[in-house]
Amino acid sequence: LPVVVDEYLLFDLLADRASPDLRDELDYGVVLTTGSWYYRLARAAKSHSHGVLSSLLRDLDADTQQRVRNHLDYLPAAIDLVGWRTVVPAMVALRVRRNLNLLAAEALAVALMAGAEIAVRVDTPLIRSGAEDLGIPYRLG
Amino acid sequence: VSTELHLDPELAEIVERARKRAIEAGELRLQPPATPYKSPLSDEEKAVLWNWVDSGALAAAIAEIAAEDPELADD
Repeated sequence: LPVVVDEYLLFDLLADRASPDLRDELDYGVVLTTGSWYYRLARAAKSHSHGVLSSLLRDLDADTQQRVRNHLDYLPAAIDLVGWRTVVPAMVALRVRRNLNLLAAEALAVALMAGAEIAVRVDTPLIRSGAEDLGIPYRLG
Repeated sequence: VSTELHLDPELAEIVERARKRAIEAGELRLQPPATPYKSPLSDEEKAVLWNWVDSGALAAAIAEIAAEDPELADD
């Protein structure tokens, strides 16, 4: 079963510390994320108010710093990402009990399109509720 | 796992059309990758990322992003 992962599980895959099950899904299945989750991860890495990544990188040479930053900026081809042109028509057609925001509508639409389950590190009530309405498997991982 | 039973016919049709477009556009694969993913990062580089997340900075930054923009909030 394909799986749509949130930014925390995406990070685990990119940083090579995913659970064995999730790692197997990447190597032998189909793993997707959404533009919204990808954006939240990439933007968090550039957060100046927390500056922790910058300070951790400070002692490394410039090439290494750039390689680490690029790793969070550019999604590897092994992880699928459905573009707006394709997913927006499905997002706006969703009918669920609660009003959806962009993050939730995209995750649910991508999961439906891929016939996937949704896996998150942090419970997301809006997505959990929508997934229940639409019959999409939802798991905390 | 089929989700079609939970979808009304109009939504099912839109989703199927979007799915076909995504496959044609190469955005959605139906098969696993030919070779397992290999991280380009060294152990030292990975450790930097692990320390960043373990510090709580990722969670704090994401909470900030979600608080600033309801469209990107978890609830």
